[in-house]
Amino acid sequence: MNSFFFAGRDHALDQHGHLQNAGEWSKELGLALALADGISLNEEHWWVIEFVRQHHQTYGTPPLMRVLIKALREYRDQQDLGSRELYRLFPDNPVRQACKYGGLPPPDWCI
Amino acid sequence: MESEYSAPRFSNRFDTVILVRTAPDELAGESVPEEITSRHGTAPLSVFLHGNGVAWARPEYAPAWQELAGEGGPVLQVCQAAWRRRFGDQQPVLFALSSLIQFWHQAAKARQLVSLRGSCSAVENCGFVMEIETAPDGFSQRELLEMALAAASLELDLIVVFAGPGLDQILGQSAVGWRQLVDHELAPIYWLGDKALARELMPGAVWLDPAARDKRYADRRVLKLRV
Repeated sequence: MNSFFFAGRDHALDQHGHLQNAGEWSKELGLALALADGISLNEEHWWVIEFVRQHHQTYGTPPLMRVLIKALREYRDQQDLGSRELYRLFPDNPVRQACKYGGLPPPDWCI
Repeated sequence: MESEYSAPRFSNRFDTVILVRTAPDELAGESVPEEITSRHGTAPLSVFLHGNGVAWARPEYAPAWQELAGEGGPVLQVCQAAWRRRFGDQQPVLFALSSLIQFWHQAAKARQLVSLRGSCSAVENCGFVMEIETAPDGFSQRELLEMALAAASLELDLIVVFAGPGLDQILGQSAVGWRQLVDHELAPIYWLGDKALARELMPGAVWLDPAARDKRYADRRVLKLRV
């Protein structure tokens, strides 16, 4: 099993690097996980992560990309924003990475 | 834009896309491969296993599909997420791992969309109706929601209609996942049944007057899901 050492203890990770126990998540741990992937989380990243966490809490699933893009457009009041902006923040896969640094399991669907 | 599943992998245009959500042990000895052969002949077909139907891709059922799987036969696909939830890292036999995104790509281009143990309709170049008359347990319930979300992610013109036992899915806590379709304007949700149920069902779900049903369904492919 993978683990991530942070704040004096090991945190178990799944095969994709997401926390096994969501209850261990904190913003500080999210920051450290992202840093280990070479991403320094800023305010823009955190807006996306919080949106994804809120969506997961409300609906039991992460948001679709089109939902995330629409929300980001409204938040920034920029109607021309597209997925490129999200990939600039999270280059591998915006929703998946936001789940990872937000203490959520990886989406296991094929969408 | 969406994900690794977005790009069409099977570029063929199929005459018919067949959705199979029923497991072999739920069919009382009936053979899906035989039924496909007898009903659909030699037209270009895609067979997509989803929900409990993914069990058809297990090795013990390979002999039943062998004849169909040859050159010129249907393209056989199994939903990757539904397969992995049930069978982990095992490999399906004769079926290629695929995705709901691929399913909808193909369905959008096909002349006919068939739900085995459901029913079908054939209208080209139009929207879709997912008419859900089932409230399965476990993975299968969530996978119906994922089917609708996959269509929404492609911005297909989809409406979702619950009826009969399917109404349980938009009742109380069961409705949590479906609410995102309405809240984010991904697809409208309608329901058929006694209008008096309205207060108990998910806010935002709209009662469909049976008299207006044909009009609402006009020019759409209707995918009736009974399992």
